[in-house]
Amino acid sequence: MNRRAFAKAIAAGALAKAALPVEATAREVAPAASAIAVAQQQEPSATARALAQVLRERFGNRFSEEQYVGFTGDIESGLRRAATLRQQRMSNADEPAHVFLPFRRES
Amino acid sequence: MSATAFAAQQGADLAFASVRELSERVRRRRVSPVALTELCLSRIERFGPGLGALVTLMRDPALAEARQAEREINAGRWRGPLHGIPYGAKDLLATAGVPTTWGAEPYRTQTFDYDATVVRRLREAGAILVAKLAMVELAGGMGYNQPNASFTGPGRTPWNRDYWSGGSSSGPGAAVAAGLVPFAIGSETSGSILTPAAYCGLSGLRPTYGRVSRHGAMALSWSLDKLGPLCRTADDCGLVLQAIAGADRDDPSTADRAFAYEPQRLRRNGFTIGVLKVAPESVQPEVLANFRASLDVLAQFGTLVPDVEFPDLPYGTTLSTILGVEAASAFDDLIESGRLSELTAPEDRTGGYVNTVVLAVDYVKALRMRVVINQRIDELLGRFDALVAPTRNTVASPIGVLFREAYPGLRSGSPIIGATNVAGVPAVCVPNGFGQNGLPTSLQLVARAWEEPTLLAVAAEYQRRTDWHARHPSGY
Repeated sequence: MNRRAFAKAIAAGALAKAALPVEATAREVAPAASAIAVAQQQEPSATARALAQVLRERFGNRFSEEQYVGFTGDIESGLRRAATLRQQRMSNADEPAHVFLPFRRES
Repeated sequence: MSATAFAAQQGADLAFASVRELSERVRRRRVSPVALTELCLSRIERFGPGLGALVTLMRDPALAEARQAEREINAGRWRGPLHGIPYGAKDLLATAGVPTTWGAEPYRTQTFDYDATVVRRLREAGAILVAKLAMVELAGGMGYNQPNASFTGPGRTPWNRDYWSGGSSSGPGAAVAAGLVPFAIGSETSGSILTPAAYCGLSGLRPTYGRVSRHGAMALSWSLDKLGPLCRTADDCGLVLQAIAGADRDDPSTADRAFAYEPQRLRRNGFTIGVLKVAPESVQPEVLANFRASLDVLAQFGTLVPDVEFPDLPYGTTLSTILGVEAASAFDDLIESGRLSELTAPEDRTGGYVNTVVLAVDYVKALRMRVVINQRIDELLGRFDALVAPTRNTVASPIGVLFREAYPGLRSGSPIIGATNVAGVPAVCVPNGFGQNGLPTSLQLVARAWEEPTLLAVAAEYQRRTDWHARHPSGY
C-alpha cells in the first residue's frame, strides 16, 4: 500500500482505536489528533505490514482489501501506543501483575 | 391481589422505593414479596422492551421464589434486607436452565447448567431474580462505537428515550431507573457500571477487583472484570454488596477480606476528599456546574483538597493492551470461526482481529506497567478518604449517532475511569443534577482498594443532603 492509499484509509476512519469498549479512557486510548496527523504523513511501518500479513494468512478472503487496509492502520495505531509502554524504564525485578501459583489438589 | 390492583393501591412510589424502604415493608409484612414480584414483572413487561432493557422474563421461577420468601417471612424466618426483594441481572450471569445470551446473536440460545456465584448468593439472601437484562454485545469487548450494539437493540435511558442508557450494563441501568426492579447487577471492565448508572441517574458501585466472585460471569478480561450493583441509593449498593461479596473457591481472584456493611458505624464528618483537577473545556458546562455544586455539598461534611492530578502514566495504553489481548483470547473461538460477523454493530464484526496480533512482549510489558500504576495510584488515593470527579464528561449520547459524533469537540469519556479500572480500585457514582435534554449528570468517588465502606459512607452522606437520587423519570 502506498502512502496515498494509507492516508486515504486513515481519513476514512481506519485508524480508529483498536477494539475496546467505549468506556475505556477515550482521551488516552484514542490516538491524539497530532498522532493521526503524523500517521497520515507516514506509510505503515514494516512491523504493521508484517502483522497485517499474519491476519491475511490466517483469515484469507474473509475480509476485503479495504478491510485489511483498515486492519493495517489499526495495527499501526496499536504499535504507536505500545511504543509508549516500551519507553517506560523497568528493572529486571519488575514483575507483571499476574502471579503464578503452583497447583496441588488437596484431598 | 392482582398486580394491577396492587399497583393502583400502592402507586408508582413503591416501584421507585429504595431497597432499604422495601425491605422494611417486607420485613414488617406490609408488602408481600409475591405482590412486589408481580408488580416488577408487570412493569418489566410493560416498559422493558421499549427501553431495550429486557432479554428474558423469569416469571415462573420468580413467583416460586417469591412465594417461598413470603412463607418464610410469615413464619418469622427473615433472612436479611434482600429477602423478598426482586432484582434483575445483566445477561452475562449464568442462570441454570435459562438462556444467558451475553447480548450477542451467536449466543442467543446459550444455556448453562449452573448459577453464577453472585446469582446463588443473592438467592441465598432471599432476593428474587425477575429478569435477565439487556447488555451491549460481549460487554463491548469488540469495540462498539454506537448505542445499537445488541440483538435487543439500543438501551434507552428512561429520562429521555432518544438517548442511550449507557453501556455495557445498558439493561440494568434502564430497568432500575424506570422502576422496573429495585436493583440490578451489572459488570464493569472499564466503565460498564458507572456509565449506565450515570446516564440513568442511578447510584452505582464498582467494587474492588476480587471483592466479588466472577464465577459464572462472561469473561471479557479476566484481570479487569468486576461485578457490582446499580441501585437508587448508595446505601442500597452497600446492602447488595454485603450479599454478594466474599471469597469464592470457584474464582481464585477473589480475596478473603470481610465486608460488613455497617453504615451506622461510619463517621459522618471529617472526611478528606480530593477533588480531581477538571479542565473546563473537557466537559459539558452543565456537567461542570453540577460538579461544582456537588463540591459545595461535600464541603459541608469534608475537607476538600483541590486540583488533584493523577501521575503521568500510560493508563490508556496499559488498559487497551491488557483488555484487547484478553478479550481476543476469551473470544478466540468466535474470532476463528468468523461468527463475529453475526454481531449487531458493524464495527464489532471486525473489531477483535487486530488484537490477535498484538506482540506478547507488549502484553507482558503492560502487565508490568500495571504494577507501577497500582502503586502510584495507591500512593495518590492514600491521601484521601475519597477522590471525586465527574463520572462522565457529558450526558448520555443520542441514539443513532456514533459516539465520536455525539458531542463534537468533547469526548464522552471520563477522566479517570480507565486509570482506576487498571488499578482495580473501587468507585461509587451518584446522580448530582441534570444537563442537556433533561439527562442526568453524575459524580464519582474513588478510593484505595477495599475502601468500599468509606466510599459508601461519603456517598450516603452526600445523598442525605441532596435529593437527586429520589427523583425519577415521568411516565413510568
